[in-house]
Amino acid sequence: MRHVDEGLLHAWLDGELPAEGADGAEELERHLVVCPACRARADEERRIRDEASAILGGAVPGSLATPRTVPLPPNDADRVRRRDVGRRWVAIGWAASVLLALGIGWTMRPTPRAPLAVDVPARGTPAVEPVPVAGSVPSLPSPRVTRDDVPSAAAPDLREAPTDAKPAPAEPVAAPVAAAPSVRAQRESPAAREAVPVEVETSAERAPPAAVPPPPPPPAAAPAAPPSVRLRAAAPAERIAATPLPPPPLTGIAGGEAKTQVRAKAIVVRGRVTDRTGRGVSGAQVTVPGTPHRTISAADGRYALVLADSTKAAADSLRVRATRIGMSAQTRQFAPSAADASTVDFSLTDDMVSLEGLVVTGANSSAPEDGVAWREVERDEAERRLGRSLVGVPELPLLGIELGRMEGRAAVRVRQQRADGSVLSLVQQRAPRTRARSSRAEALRRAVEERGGWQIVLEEEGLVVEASEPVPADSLRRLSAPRRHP
Amino acid sequence: MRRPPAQTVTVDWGEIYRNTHRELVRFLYRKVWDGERAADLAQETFTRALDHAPENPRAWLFHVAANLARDEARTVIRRKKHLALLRTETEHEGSMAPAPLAEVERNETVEKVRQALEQLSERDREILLLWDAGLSYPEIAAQTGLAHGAIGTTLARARRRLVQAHTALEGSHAARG
Repeated sequence: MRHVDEGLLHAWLDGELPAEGADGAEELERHLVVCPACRARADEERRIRDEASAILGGAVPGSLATPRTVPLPPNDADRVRRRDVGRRWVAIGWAASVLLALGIGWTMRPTPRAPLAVDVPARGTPAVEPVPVAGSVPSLPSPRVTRDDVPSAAAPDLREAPTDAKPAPAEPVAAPVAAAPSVRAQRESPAAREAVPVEVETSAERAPPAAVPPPPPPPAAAPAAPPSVRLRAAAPAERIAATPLPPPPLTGIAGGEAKTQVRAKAIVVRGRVTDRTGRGVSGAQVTVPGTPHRTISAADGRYALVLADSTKAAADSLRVRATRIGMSAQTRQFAPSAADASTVDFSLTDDMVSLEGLVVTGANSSAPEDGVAWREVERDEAERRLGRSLVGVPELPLLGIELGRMEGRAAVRVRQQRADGSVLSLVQQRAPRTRARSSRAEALRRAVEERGGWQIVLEEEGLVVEASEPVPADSLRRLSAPRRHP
Repeated sequence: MRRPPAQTVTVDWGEIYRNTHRELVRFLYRKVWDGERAADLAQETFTRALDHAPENPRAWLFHVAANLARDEARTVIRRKKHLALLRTETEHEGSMAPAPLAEVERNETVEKVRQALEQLSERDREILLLWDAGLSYPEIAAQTGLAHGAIGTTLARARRRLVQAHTALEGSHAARG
């Protein structure tokens, strides 16, 4: 009996065998019926094939939204809207922001450890020159994008105002609008309802900030757009005029929708966040309390915030606040009217134990540490026994660290004091090694539920933390906000 | 005698675009390992496609795409790197804070697949990627010149090698972690 050769098996599995013939599917299937060895081989090859597909499936760019092609009416060639992507991005962006808010690991050591969050190429100047186009077109006001998006928890960084056509990080693969002759991005800013919405024509999606031309009449264009982008914009435009193939619309317009507003130059607040030694602090959240303006400091501690004019008009002086998990918060005042660009620096001091990747799920549960014999230990010992750095809630005073055993494994209880005086305990334990990585990813994306009591389950790097009391910390409160938004 | 009207071959690139764009980006991504560049190249491929009406459009697309990817690797790399760095910088300045854990994990996953893929021979890898991009055996044969009968064998070998390599990488990672 001639056994099936593996090439034929795979062709058969792929559905590519002709039905008839000596090497056809029917012949092969007849053989499989009578040959258990080949059946077993077929199963094995099928497994290999499926696994190879699964492996390849992991090698995809961050987002694969096919740019939507719509038949563009000839006289409306540049009116394309992308709303769905914005919304989806916002949801992802929220999750990203939340994860970042809590996902910065920090331990109280003389040498600050680089936080997990800033695993990106070192930034250059985080400060972005506000609208260079304004400089080149002095007579026209430059468009400002204020994106006060609904999930305040995820309030995106307004520094991207000059780069409003940028794809969000959650969608690194965005069809370059360079291939589209011109696309109008329309966005809405709920916080600035009084503004007259203006459509901004963007000619190149991924050009550096300078590529936002003023609205019609004919823009002075974006002289700073890199030549390569320009060339691409030129050629397809002609082609598309000649053929029915419509250009892909702008994908991944950063963050939801915001009405672009014709405004005077916006206020830019920039500065540097440092620690006691003067070293730059990366991953610090810099916010303007009471507004959605929010950003993260770069690797060298520098940051830049672009404030909407509505913010500026609303207050004579604004507070800017810098916080970082593991460090004390600091708030400073500045007067927005004093200068177009203000410098506000922060010097933060170390404060607390680390907090990494918190996922909050709600559940009624009795304190998990019941029945465990806890003994007070030093932090070093606790971390040694646990095998990793401890986890705590930022900005809450530390009451004590205790060691015990749960389910036969070492567990550490970190007790902190909440604002109202009650005690929060975080019981931390290494997760069993069998926990698959995919479940970790899934755990990290779990939505927040609230069913009476809170149980905070942290699943990251094999660590399970359960907290047996409501946690009112600022960062955790933000987690509950996005439930309003899909 | 009247001549029959010239036969014109029309290719509905719009339809192909919708159906193939995603796969093309994936295919390119596994060559250049950069989401943006992959998207760029995909757009470029389609742009060039508009001038042509090949008999086998999808295979032709991937052929062009593969060439573009290879050619781009040869062109002024430094300038592109510079531009890419600029883009990356401005992206990060203007973008949301990255999701640290999700992003890091995804990058690790991608990196592992990349390393595993590199252990395949170039031909095996190419055929595997084409198959994963959705091309049929005849299309793969048309593009690569491989005999139809040999494609199954090549895929069998490529898949096994990929799984072996990837499992080994996972194993060593788990041992470390």
